[in-house]
Amino acid sequence: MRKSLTLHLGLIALLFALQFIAPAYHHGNLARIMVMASFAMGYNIMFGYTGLLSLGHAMFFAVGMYGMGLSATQLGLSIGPAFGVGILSALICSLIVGLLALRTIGVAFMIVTLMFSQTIFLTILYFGGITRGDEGFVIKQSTRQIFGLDLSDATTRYFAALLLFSLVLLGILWLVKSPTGRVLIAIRENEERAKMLGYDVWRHKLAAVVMSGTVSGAAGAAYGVLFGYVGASFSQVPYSIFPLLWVLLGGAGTVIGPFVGTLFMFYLIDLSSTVTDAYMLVVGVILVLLTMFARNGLMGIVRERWAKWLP
Amino acid sequence: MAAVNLLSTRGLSRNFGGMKAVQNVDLDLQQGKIRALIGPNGAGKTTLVSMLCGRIPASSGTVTFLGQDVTDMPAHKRISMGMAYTFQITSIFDDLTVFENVALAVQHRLGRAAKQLKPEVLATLERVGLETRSDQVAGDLAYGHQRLLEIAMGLGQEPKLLILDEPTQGLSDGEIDEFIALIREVSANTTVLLIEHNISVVMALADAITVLNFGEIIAEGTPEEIHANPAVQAAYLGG
Amino acid sequence: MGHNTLPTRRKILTGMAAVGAASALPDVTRFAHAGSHSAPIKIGFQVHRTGIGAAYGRWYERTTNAAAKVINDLGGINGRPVEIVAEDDGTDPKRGAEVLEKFANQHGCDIAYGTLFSHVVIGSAPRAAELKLPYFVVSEGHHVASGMLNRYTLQPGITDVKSQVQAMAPWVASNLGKKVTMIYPDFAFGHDHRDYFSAAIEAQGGEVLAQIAIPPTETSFTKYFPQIPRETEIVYHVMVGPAVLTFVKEMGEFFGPNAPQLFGFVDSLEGVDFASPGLEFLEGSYFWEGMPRYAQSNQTSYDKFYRDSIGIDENGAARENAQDVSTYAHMFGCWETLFTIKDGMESSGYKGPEDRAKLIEAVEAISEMPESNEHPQGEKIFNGKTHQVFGVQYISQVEGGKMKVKHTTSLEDGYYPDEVDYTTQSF
Repeated sequence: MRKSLTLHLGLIALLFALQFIAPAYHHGNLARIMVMASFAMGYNIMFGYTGLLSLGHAMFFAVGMYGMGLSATQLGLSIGPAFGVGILSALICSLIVGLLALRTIGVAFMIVTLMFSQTIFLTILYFGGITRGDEGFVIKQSTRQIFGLDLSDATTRYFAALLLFSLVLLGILWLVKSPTGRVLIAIRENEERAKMLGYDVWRHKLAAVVMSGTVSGAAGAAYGVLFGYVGASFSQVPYSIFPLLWVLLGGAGTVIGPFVGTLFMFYLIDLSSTVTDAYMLVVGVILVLLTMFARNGLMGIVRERWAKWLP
Repeated sequence: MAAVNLLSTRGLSRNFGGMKAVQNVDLDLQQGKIRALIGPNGAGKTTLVSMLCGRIPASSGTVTFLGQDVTDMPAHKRISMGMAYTFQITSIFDDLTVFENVALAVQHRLGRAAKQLKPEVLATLERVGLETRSDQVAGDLAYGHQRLLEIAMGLGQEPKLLILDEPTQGLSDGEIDEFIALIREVSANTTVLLIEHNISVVMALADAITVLNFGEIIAEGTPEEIHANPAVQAAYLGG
Repeated sequence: MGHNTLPTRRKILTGMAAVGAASALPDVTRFAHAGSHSAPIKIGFQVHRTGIGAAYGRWYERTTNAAAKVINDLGGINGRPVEIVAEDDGTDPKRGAEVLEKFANQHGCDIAYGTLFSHVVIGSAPRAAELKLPYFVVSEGHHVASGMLNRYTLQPGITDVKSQVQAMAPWVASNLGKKVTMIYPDFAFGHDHRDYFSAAIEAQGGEVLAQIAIPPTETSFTKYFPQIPRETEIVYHVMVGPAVLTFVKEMGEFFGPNAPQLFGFVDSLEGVDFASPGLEFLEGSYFWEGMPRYAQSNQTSYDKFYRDSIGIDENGAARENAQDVSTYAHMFGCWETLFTIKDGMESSGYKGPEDRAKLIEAVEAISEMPESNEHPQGEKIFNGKTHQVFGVQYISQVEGGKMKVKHTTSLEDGYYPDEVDYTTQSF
């Protein structure tokens, strides 16, 4: 427990220190990576810890983002309450999706989540009058203020992203060490056995979907607040696949893995795109190699080889 | 003293398509007793106990547990009422440690009393002799040890009714002797339903035996009565 | 804003003269006076190399490189060579924003430029303002002039869709018919056409009989054509995306020889050869063109110079491959934007990032852009308040598988009241 707390608090401390020393470009990247890693950590609750493979997580990210964005632009809420509306929207969305999608399992579950996500995308387009459809809309820089802090400022943005990231990271660390988290892992490992130990598997899965969707939605709302843009592309299929890839790459079912995967993938794309236009091919090849030789992702290897205690 | 029935079934049946796996079973388990359920392969023993603990729904009939009709109750609620089921085919959490496996069983009973978790898990492991292996990954255990872990998970729940589905399969003779001693000890405050092929285990433990053949109860009685029952002998020899 | 007109013109004239001479000069003399400023001016080019915009992006890049070469052959900007730093944005708004950060903080670019797809523009523009990085987009979206964006984002090279559509209406109403059925994709680009054209045609005394929105996921269109009312005199169609060719072909099969007048935006067929099988029925129909793809009989020297510089033949295809048809109706925006950047940098005496605000003010001060080598598409007026340029539009008819210009709109046809004054925003 002490080792694990040291590791995770150490990561937060490192990111805190990087605020002051990272070059501007990487400073900006890290802020964004922390937000997207929060998205991936949300995904990991379902996929990595509960064994539920969703192919529609973009919907939660987008619902959080649009819940925030539309309440700010259409209802005129200030950014703090609008952020709250974003999180609440994602919570309600994930509850509904959970109630319906959890009637299915396996491939059917994947397809149902994919369809729900597509529905969200088409809904955004359908209400083009207020959402501006595929183009999306801007959250005005002048409105992106909270407690007198300008969230479009690079330093403030970084700390806001770090705050979100830290809360999610420590929250998930607490979750997986908690009795509920252990039950989620038990469901992932052997659902039938978990049921025959007296656990209400369905309710635990529902809780996992809601927690996962809400965290992902918080990340979406944060992206809109911190980067000033709300757009339908975030509800499309690639943004359902990205969190899966980040989590697979970093290590499903590890608290730190989604961050490692998001970081790794960002720089993989950023660096390989300077070398070739076929950078997605490079990414694809590396992912195939990873799934062939390191099925449990980067942090999965660390856990197997060096740190069995890694949560 | 009149026996108190912990669990009763009436007319319990289960069909798989046209096949009648279990037919019209009336079963009464007396509190504090060890009941053995025997019968040839395919007699419907696992189907019957699966209906008792809710893993599969009954086609017709009722199950009453602790005086309450639980026929339509989902498995996890029956378990929470005080049943435990250990699987015929070992079903443990392979990637978790021995400790974590048993902790999952104990935790459900303890609820919020988290402080008690560790001592109770270790005590449970000690009862089956796995205390020195608590940090091992369950999937790495030898088969016999996995069977013991399965039993430990049942014990960890401290159930009112412990259903053991062929628990001694794969155990060594020495381990079987320890198992018999363990179940005797457990039965002091737990009702046990034991599906078992090893007839010497049955004879050593059972207060009463129920014999199932082609989904129906063909005999019920003390071990001596069953031993002498011609229908049972016919079923085993003919079946 | 008129005060800037004269020097602009003069520079353009000298520029034109220099174009001819430039190629004769040896390289060493070109930046002879550069001195300590000989470091290149870096223009970050946000290009759609992958993703849905890739077909356009390829031609945007080719045009950009050609314009940069011309500028460098002319002696660069303020005596410094221009370096195009291209980064793929994957036609994705999130990556687009990242690319802007890369330009500003990694590559040390002076400005960012070149984005086409609206969602990438809108996703990137907030970052441009925060990075205080002038951002010149070539998108034809109404997002700039609508006031949604910010002081750092400008569109000086291509007319926005609201103006384009509005400028079409008078000629369409008086020559093709007044009863219109519109078919458009059911997302923002299509909605802009729906809203702006409906208003414009009604202002001409016409009416829109039906508005048929096609969902973006659609791959077959035959079920939509029966919704076209019988009394329709003209079908206004605008489609984009991977299924456009199917759309146009199925429309041809549906109507057969008894088609009403067809008026489309050439966006549907950008990069597509009119000689492709299945497109024969388009013969005689009309298209909006941002710039005439086929060299006209009265081709200007500017158009010729522009085509030659990029390497495009008289049919709008690559010189080296007649099958490789360009996105001619849009990509001139890259060329013209780069020359406007040059103009703004020169009139503001731009030296480096500290002069970015001065650069924007200088561009805001530009008004007239006469037809020239720098502006081969035609004359334009830039509105410094709305950061949007207004140019002439072309209506062409398909004749013998080629498009022939039938009408050129006036600048006034495309004017609408200002919706924003960016110059009141602080830097």
